[in-house]
Amino acid sequence: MMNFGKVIAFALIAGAVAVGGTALAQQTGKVNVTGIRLAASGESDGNGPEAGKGERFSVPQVAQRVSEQGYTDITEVELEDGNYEIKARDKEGRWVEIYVDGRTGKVMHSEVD
Amino acid sequence: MATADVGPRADTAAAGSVKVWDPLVRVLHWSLAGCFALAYVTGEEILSLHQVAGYGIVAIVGARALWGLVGPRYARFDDFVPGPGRLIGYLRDLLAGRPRRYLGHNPAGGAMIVALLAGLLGTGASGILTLYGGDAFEELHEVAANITLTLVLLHIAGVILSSLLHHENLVRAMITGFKRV
Repeated sequence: MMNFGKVIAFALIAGAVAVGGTALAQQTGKVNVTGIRLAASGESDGNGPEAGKGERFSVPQVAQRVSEQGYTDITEVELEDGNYEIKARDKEGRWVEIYVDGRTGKVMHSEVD
Repeated sequence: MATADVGPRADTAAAGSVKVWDPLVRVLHWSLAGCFALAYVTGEEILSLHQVAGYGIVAIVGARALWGLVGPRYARFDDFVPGPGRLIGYLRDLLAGRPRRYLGHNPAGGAMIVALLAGLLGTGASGILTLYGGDAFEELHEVAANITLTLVLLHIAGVILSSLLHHENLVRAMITGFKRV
């Protein structure tokens, strides 16, 4: 018959291993995502994270993607329900709010602020 | 060795005190406290440091639970994790102002340890979920962190109360490892 203390200890160990393992998997996944992103960066329709896995662009990735499209002075990158709201200047130097699909990294639309 | 580290034999003989908290328990306790403080303060502002502190917390909780199975007597969960009956009985005595003194963790302290470790682990888990995205996880993480902070404050209050009731310095005991017999 196992003691109450042992049950708690085992549960906490299992929890810590599960959380640590998830973290590790996420970190490893991030490396892969970056690899795909870099491999595809020369293409016009650049691949982002693996769409089927529900992964999305990270903040640095999305910021780089937006700056590649001629936007400058990125001052805000906000994740909103899986998509990004980015505040930056467009090619004409106007402050705009850009809405970027979090999965594909494509600019969905932009508004002049 | 460090200058403040009095040899166990000398201390036991001189002051009638006994070594209760082994070095690993003390190191894990204070590094866990440090990591939580660091994680709480850095928050979203310094994310990389926040994450390192968070991973540290998860690792320490795991290590402490493992030590709770294989460590020495007072480090073991069996020594201090109370069943509901013992906990209620102790809390009743506490309210009456005459709780029994324990050399190891008292039942309320033991229950608090479980709550703290679970709270920290839950906060860590919700923190990792935020990496997968979504405002909902961020809010969940914040709520979990604040619940854990509340537990920390209750823990500190409990330590102070117990120290006063038994005329001993439990904070110092967790630093030196020694308690009065």
